[in-house]
Amino acid sequence: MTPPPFLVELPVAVPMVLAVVWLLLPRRFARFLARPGALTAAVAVLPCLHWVWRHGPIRQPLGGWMAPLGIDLYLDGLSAFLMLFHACAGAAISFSAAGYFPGSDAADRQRTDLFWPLFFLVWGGLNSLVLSLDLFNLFVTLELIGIGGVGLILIRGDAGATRAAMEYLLQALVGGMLFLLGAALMYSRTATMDLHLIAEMLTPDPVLNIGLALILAGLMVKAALFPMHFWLPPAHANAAAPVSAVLSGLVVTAAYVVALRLWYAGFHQLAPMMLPPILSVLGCLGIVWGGAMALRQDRLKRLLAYSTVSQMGYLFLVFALASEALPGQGWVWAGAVYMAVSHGLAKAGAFLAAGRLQTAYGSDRLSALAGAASTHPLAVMMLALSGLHLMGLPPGAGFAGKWILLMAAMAKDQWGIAAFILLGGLISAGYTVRAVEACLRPAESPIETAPVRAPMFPILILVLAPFVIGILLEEAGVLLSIGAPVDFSEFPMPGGLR
Amino acid sequence: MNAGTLMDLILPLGLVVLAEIILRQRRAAEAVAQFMVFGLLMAVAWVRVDAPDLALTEAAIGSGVTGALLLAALRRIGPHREPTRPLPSPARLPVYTATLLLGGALSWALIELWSDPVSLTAAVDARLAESGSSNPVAAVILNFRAYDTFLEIGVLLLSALAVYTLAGSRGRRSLEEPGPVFQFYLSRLAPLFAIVALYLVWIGSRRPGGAFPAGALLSGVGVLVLLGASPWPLGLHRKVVRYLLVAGFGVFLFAGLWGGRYGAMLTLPPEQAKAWKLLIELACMLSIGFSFTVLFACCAGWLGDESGEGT
Amino acid sequence: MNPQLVYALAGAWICAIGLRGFMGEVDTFRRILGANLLGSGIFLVLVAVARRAPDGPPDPVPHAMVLTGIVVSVSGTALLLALLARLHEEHREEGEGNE
Repeated sequence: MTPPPFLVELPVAVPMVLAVVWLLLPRRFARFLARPGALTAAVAVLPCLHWVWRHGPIRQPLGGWMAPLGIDLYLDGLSAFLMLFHACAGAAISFSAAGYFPGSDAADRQRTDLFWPLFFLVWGGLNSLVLSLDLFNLFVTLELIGIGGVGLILIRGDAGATRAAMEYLLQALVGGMLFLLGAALMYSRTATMDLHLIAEMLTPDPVLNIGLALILAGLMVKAALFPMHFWLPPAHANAAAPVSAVLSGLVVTAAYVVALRLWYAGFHQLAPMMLPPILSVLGCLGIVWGGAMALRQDRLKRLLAYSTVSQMGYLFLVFALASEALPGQGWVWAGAVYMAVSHGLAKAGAFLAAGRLQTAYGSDRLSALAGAASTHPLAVMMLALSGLHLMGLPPGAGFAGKWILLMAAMAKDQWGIAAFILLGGLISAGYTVRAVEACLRPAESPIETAPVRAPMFPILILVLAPFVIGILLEEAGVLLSIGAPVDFSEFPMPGGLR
Repeated sequence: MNAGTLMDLILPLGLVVLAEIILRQRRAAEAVAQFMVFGLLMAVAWVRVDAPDLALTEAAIGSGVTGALLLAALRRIGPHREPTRPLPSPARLPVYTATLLLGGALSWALIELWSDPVSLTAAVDARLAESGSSNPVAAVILNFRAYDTFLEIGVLLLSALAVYTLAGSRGRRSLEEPGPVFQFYLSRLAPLFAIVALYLVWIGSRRPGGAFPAGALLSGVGVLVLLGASPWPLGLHRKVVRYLLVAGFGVFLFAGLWGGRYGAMLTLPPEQAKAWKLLIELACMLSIGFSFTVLFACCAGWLGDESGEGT
Repeated sequence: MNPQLVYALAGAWICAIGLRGFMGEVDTFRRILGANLLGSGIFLVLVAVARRAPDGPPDPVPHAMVLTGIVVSVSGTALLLALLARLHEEHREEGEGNE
């Protein structure tokens, strides 16, 4: 059965059309476009989801040329799942974004208005990134997302944001170039840039090894793996709250997912023996370093940003557990996706909640937030709930992911990794408690808080979504197994999750 | 050993040495001048490896536009530069190791690669007729890998938007009055550049040329006009500015959606391909030219919200 | 030795030098120059790789990648320089305000 035309392109095209229409319309009309537009962009994913669920994966050759000559988009369970994640987070962020921007003077307005076209372009880019199978196209898309992210950070307009944006852009550009260099080597050897076609041609070959190492290095910079994470905390902490949510929730996750896709497409056969241990050591160091730094921060948003570094460390442990084909390896893959998505949703929610507190108290210093639990109980509760996801407590998807990784580590006798997974959970508990405890302290004197315009329900959706995935875990697993290059046959711990 | 062989040894070596010199140069202005020379030599190198069409773009964008941007930014940074401290010595070892590792590994990989020259040349040639171009590079850019080009125009649009976000938070510097000789040349050069840019787009499907060098040339016009103290590229009505910036991406997107009727996004049926591609290239030329002008103006500090009345 | 290989090797070492400039310098302006050199090196490698076959026309696909890559890298550089110049100006004004 042939898919309806335009099915796969829709999730990319809709946000991009929105961005263009936004820029063409006069501002006073364009403002009304934001929320309906975001909803349309979110709904545009549903046909893809439906098709994948019913009929399986499809490959869409753009322009009608096929790979290796042209560029193909590949819609499978993973891309549908991730686009659904983008849709959920994107819609939630759009519904609350306007509430976080100061709307007072004209210059501010002009800047914050640009949030929408930037955001929609980044959204389209994120969807394109999870659909694309073409190495060079992935490079261009990563740059699109990176430069879009820089524009989004600049909406904050102060010197701290400008400095952070500059460092972020510099790192993103160089990371992209390393990726491009790796892609160039891959192409020169195989005469194709298509991941699946390259995977068919993989043989032990130093050129491909070097190419893979460069590509992974580029992605590690973009995903802020220790020690390439230094750009992340200032960038994510200095941006406006909805922008932090986009960057920490969606953008880093997307870079990680590209690495995951490459690895499982068969590139893990290429990796020299020492690569998985190196990645796992960096991952462990990232968990500890990011966690320890989060524990030491005195600002809420910086704390959350360092927590992202710590969580990215977790995600890179997967590569050490997936170096050889194992029955049930598919579940390790799914576990990594659960963790990445759960972190993305929870972190976006946490940043939006932190933004509410920052608006109310005029600062995100932990010392200034005393009494927040009584004035803004819901926001503090959301912060605590998102902390639960970061720790990996049941019944969220984060718990499931962490549990699967733990089981896989023990099945492979990787006790060190198992220990670090547990330790990371403890550290996340530590910094979550620190943040929540600061809000629970009674205020010494009654503080005048500013009114918060941003609505609460998007945060609620973001924080509850990982629970929903946790409940629908098997369905999510079935979705992820559609068109997946890994074996889902045997569940590592039958029935052990519910 | 003939002159060509000798040049093929000296030029690559010279490029490597020049790269090293640029980074060792302690005075930034001289480093920029050397970087521009580096760009021009690079263009010559590209002619030597049979890429004259790319050399044109490299000379125009890689050397010309980048050089202008570097100079504009440097003038604003001025004498109040960050002090140039050397890296603390414990950090030097990993940096040098990584550098040597990269150079060595790449060299090894390239020597390996030379024994087995695989390429898509034959695949491109086989379907060149369907693309509506006779130039294979143009066919790859606007047909086979049009999606990359589309997203790349998106990157350009995003940087222009980011620059407007940046400029929105501050006032701007005023333009400086140029001498009369400059204005005399400007009034004659600017139209000439514009005509050459159009010509480059027109021949793009058959011979080296196309939207990129043409856009670079147009941005050259924009920069010259700004240097001539005429702020019209920046003083245009806000709507016009937005239309110009979004034109390339918007037309490309529209063409892509239109092509979706034939099966997949960006499908251009052969009988319409030529017209669509000309339209896309013209729009991209305008957007590239105007975006680089705006980016240059922002680097020079000329972009601001002084004329800012929101539409 | 194939003369194009010499250009490719030069590209490889320009990449290495550029990366050192990016990682090993403290001054941001110089790091931007390093990143640009890295880009130039990559483009030289790509253009040379396209010309590996001893006869026939060069491979157009790397050429297209280079054209796309140049625009991406110049857009990024321009934005970086704009940010850097802005930071310097703000820094200077702060300095004047304190005096």
